[in-house]
Amino acid sequence: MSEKDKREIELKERYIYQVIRRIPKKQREEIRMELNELIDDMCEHSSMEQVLVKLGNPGEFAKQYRDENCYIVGPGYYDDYMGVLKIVFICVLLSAILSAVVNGITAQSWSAGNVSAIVNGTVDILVNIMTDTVGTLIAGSLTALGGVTLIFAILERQNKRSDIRQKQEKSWSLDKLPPMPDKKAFISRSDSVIGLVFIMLFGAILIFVPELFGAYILEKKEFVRTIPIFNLEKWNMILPFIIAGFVLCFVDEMIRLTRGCYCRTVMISSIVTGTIQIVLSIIILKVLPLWNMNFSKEIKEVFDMEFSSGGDMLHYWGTDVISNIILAGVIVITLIEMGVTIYKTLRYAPEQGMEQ
Amino acid sequence: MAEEKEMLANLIQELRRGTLVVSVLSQLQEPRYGYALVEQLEQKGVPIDPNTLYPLLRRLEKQGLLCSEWEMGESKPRKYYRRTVLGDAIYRELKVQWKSISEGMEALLKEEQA
Repeated sequence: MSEKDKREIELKERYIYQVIRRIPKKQREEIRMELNELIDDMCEHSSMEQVLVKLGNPGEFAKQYRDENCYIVGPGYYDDYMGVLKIVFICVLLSAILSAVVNGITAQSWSAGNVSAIVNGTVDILVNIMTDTVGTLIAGSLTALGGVTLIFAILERQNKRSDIRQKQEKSWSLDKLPPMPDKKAFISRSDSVIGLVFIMLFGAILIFVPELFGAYILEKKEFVRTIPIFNLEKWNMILPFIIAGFVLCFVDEMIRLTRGCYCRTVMISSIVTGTIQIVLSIIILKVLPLWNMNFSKEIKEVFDMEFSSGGDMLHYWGTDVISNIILAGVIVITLIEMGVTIYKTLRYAPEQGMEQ
Repeated sequence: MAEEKEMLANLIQELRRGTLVVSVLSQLQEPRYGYALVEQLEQKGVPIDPNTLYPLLRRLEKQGLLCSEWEMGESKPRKYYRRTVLGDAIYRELKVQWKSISEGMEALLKEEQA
């Protein structure tokens, strides 16, 4: 075999490899044989180089062999996907800036001394705030991108399955056409968007700067620090439950946004989310050490106050009263929301409720 | 300008894509291997790229319109395709459809000239 032949065979093998590595394993061996046959046939009239150039980009060639379009997020959900991503990215940006600014200011209050220190400190703090923002932004954006994509990928898969099921039912007749949803069955898009933004901002604060929830101590109109109402020492233990709750709410809100009207999916999502939400709230409020037990003591010391009257909330700090009140509130609100969703689905969108 | 050219190329490709199945089926009453089909179609003025034809042959086989067999006897292994009974029936139907489409199109385009 001459050098030229060897080179041609090597080129051919490289080309074929680039095609078949992109197609399903089961078909590879046969397609490899087919391509061998084709290229050899074509080589009878032209050189190997000319043949391979004529066949073109092996990636494009392989694409022709794959019959189905593989989507993570298909055209049906694309607009919603991009819309949610935009909202999520804006929220990530806002919360990254917010948390960096808060951290920056908190750091400043300790270092503040004479004028030059403040000037130097301000520059340092600005640099800190910027690097902090960029860091949080990158990590947050990647997490958000992954999370949103995952949720939409699941929605996409489910949709594909229900498409297949509908195709299997074959004959379609006019009575299978669902009626227009009642006007009252539509879920307002802006409500969902506001919901998403609220969930994310609130979640971001609890994750990045939980100390924002607390009493603010000012000295000579300068912010010094806060007395957090939460037990930040145990925060690492509590946070996963809180994050789980927010992720759940987020998914639920996104399902509402993409469906756009009350239907079985929205109803089930609402029931599941609500139930888990209540369980999580019980764990967070009754089992975990959520509260900063020293809160009322510190307040007393710093502000020189006494809470003795029975009408004062802080009088009950450290007892179960506050947890119970909040828990009751959460349960009532969650049940009302679940009830409204179930009622609206069954009342205004019974067909969608049954079939989708 | 480059954009227009690309758009035109895409539209031509789309226009031809629909005719590919009929043209391929028309040539496969007798068993033929891939490249022979490429050459034959080209000679008859209906050229098709091998990188379109080969995947198409597989798809038609999967749909049951063609069947294939590897011939190992010759100097190198070759895969021969030919129409199945189902393929024959579908081809006949498609021919009728094509006739009516081309007549309709002919009339439309004549109207434009007049």
